[in-house]
Amino acid sequence: MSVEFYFNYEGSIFGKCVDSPWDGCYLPHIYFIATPLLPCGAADPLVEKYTGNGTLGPATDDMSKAIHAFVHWSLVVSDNTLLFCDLQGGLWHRVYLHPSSEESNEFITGSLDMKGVLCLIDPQGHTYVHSS
Amino acid sequence: MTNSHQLIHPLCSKARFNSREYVVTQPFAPEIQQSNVEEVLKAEYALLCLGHAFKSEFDKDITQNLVGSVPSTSHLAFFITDVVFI
Repeated sequence: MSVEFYFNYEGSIFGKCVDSPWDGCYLPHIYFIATPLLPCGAADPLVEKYTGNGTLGPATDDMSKAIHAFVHWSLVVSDNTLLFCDLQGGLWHRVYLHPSSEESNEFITGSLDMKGVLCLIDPQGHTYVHSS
Repeated sequence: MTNSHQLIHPLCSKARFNSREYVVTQPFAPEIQQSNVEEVLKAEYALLCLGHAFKSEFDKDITQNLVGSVPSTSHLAFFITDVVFI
């Protein structure tokens, strides 16, 4: 089982709507965040929570254990100033068009294959800001 | 401190940019001031950036140390000690 995961950051945008002669801003606010759309159809896996907001929660599977380790590691290296929480996401399928030789056991047929990778969305965090 | 603002559900707002589909996220409350919207979204985006950065360092660390001891304070703390996430 893969325990690979990542945050939905690459390709994301923090933007501001700018009116143009041919197109106005139809959003309620001019500022927005745009993140790559993940599969959200009826056949796609539902979003799962791996940590709670106020509690870490149980870690009974490999993915939860890996994410909890990441949360712990982040808290330590941030000098106890950042505790990621509410980590949730769904499995995103990464397609290998040209399998490398290192992965030949898995992709030896040379056909398209997929590897489930967890994409974390909308993370939250508890922070501690040192007073001066 | 955690985010206390209700955001638009991702399924409600989609957009296309450079042939790629996106989810657009904004605070749900229409009466919120634009300056507050900017502040909230910047905090949200900063946390997403931090998650990405920390995960990159985490991957390097577990690759190099392979279940070694958890490191003590690192330079990453420098970047977040003056940031407040809403």
